[in-house]
Amino acid sequence: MNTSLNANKLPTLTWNHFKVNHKEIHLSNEPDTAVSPKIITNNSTAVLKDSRTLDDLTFSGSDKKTETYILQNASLTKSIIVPKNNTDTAPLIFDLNLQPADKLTCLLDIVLEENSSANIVVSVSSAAESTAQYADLIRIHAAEGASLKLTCLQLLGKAALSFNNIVACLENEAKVSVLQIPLGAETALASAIMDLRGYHANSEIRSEYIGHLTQDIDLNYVARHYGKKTLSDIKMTGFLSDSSKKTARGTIDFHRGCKGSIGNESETVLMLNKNARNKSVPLILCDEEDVVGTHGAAIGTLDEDRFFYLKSRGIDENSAHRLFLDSAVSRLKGLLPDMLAAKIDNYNKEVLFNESV
Amino acid sequence: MSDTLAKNPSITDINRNLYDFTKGEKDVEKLASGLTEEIVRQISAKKNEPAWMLEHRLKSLKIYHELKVPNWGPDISGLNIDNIVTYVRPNTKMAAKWDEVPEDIKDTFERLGIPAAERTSLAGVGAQYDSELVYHNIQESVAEKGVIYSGIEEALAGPYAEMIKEHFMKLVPPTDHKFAALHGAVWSGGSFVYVPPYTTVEIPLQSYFRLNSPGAGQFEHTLIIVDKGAHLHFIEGCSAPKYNVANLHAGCVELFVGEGAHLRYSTIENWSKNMYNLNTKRAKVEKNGVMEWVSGSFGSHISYLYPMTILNGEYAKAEFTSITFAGEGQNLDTGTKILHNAPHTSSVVSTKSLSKSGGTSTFRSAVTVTEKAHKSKTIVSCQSLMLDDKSRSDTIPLMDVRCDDVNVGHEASIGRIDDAAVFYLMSRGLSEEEAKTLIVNGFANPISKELPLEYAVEMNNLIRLEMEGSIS
Repeated sequence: MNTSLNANKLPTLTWNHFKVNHKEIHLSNEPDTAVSPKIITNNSTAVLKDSRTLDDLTFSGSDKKTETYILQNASLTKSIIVPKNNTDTAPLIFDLNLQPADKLTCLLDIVLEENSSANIVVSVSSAAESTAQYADLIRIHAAEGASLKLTCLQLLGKAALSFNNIVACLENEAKVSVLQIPLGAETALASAIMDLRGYHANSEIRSEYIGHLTQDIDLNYVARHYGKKTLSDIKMTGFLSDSSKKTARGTIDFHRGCKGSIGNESETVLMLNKNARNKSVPLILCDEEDVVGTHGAAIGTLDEDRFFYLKSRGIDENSAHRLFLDSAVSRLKGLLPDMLAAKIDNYNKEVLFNESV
Repeated sequence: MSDTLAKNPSITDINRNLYDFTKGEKDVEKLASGLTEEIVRQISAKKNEPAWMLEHRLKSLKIYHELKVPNWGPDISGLNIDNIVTYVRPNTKMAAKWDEVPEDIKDTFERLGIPAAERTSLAGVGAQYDSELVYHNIQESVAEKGVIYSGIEEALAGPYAEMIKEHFMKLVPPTDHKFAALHGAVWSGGSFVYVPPYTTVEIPLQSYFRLNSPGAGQFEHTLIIVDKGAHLHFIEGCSAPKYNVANLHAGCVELFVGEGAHLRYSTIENWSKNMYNLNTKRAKVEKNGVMEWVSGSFGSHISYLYPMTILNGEYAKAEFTSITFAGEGQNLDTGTKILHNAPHTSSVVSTKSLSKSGGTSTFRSAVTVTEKAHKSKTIVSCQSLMLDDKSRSDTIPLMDVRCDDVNVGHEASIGRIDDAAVFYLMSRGLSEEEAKTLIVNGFANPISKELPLEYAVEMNNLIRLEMEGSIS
């Protein structure tokens, strides 16, 4: 039996026939596979628990039905408590390696106490030929002055489904930077919704993807400004090759009272195949006068002059595409801890370029 | 600086005397309120129209009942179709001379400046009062070129009947949305324009729509066909006095721009603030054709207005330039849709919106680039200005790209008037209100410069009226 969810809901609806108001997915209700994360860490100060810690906090981004599904089905529940004034930012890596038919639902609470800092990486992967299902909810509370860098890398197999949900609540002067890299899975959903509640709270959301084969990537990012002088930045960058498709929703939502706040949103999409399809819905919702909100998007193909140059050097169109994808992958590797770079390399060869590893 | 700005700066409401005057309903013929098959048949019977049109109306009525009210956009639960009178006929026939128009109706259009504009700067004028056209005229020199500008009902009984049948509600089918279906069922009045191949109409034509009757709807249909290589500028104006009951405007505009043709369609919409403006406008542009929209939305209580351009031929171009000013009690959801459906097509969308005194302004757009639209380019730019902390401004653009070798750009910004700019202007002797009005006029300038001078002045006056009292 499956649960049907309208995931990645657009905060304000628009024309229904474009099919961007939500993404309908079906998640299995069968018992989850027990997958134990390999926790690779050099960080000795963070406290790990096998229970939930943020049930009392309200996150505006929590979709009730999704939250209920995760809470009822989660077979992996963890909390990470980063103690007050912690300055150890060595990466704490959660490495989840799923078997080809695994179904895993995961709840992760991250609590950053006052003036603490942390660097957390969640990596989910499986073999290239996999029908795995992965759904998570990562809840974050960043107390006053706290700072978090969170990276979510998803390298599931070609027929898998992935749904990576992040909700965060930021107090005064807190900063949360999220990087999502949904490289794998046939259906890859990623979402991050930030509640900027405190004075000068600051959120950065960055998403990097390489759409390939018949992959369907669905992104939903929201920065909700409540506190005064809050800052947000949403950046989405990616390539769409083969018959892949991608829908990106990005919303800057200024609530009354968030005086002096600034929100920026930008998107760059490179279309590498005539069968690829891109939908972008960048929203700015504004209920406050004293703010600045900007958005910019560029969707296009490779510059003809560059192509011409490469051709003049003997590089045909397919090889040129390969070059651009290689460079994109290299850039992603640079954003991750070294120990995950090899995983990306393998994935790159096996799935993107169909080469044996 | 103007006298208006020298008035008491603590005025809290807007002086709309220019538009907000009412005339009695002497001898008017009104059908019952609501929407029934009997009412639709009655409207059709009064027009002595061909059988296919009655069939079209009845089919549209059926579709209307099947379709749902949109689940997105502003709340229109205050609009009850059972309370709307869909047909109000003034006690006059259409005239070709203003002297033949009844005095009270003529006085209405005199006060709106229509006959004066016709004398100085228009090649033809159509004036609609409630559900019927009361005046239609075209300059002889323009008519001699073979340009047809007449009431659409009149044209439906003449030599262009087949052309109208071929095009009527083909761009905006009744199935498009609930209020297109409503329009299909009860439409009345409106203009028909045909510009023959390679003919240039040098001076604009204008249709003006005035809704006088409280609780009534206006459903005019405008059909313009600009044939191969022809040029036309068409201006549409509309206004109504304010009543304390809901009025409804669900007109429909269909524009066909032929190969190499050029059409500019300018609108200054200034409906009263009890109006539900659920209007539909759409243009189809063939190879090398150019469609330009210039649009100013100032009135209405609620607006859903998204003129759409279908770029259907190679190298077809569209430009959409608009400004929306939402004040107290207004929720104006405006924008555009562009469909790139042929190679090398291009579009430029440039919009400005202002929100003030608790008004809500929403920019909503959709740019679709189909598989056929290779080498197409589009750029969308929307800028919103918040004039106080009680108002709201949203931008909801959408881009759907199904082709790789295209160039799609989008930029949006929301903010308020820069304090430093106001301070500078005040240091040069302007009051705060004058300084802000000047800045808002500058913000609107890219739009007003696209309008003929008289209409740019009208738009600037509207901005000034809206800004009046903004500093209390």
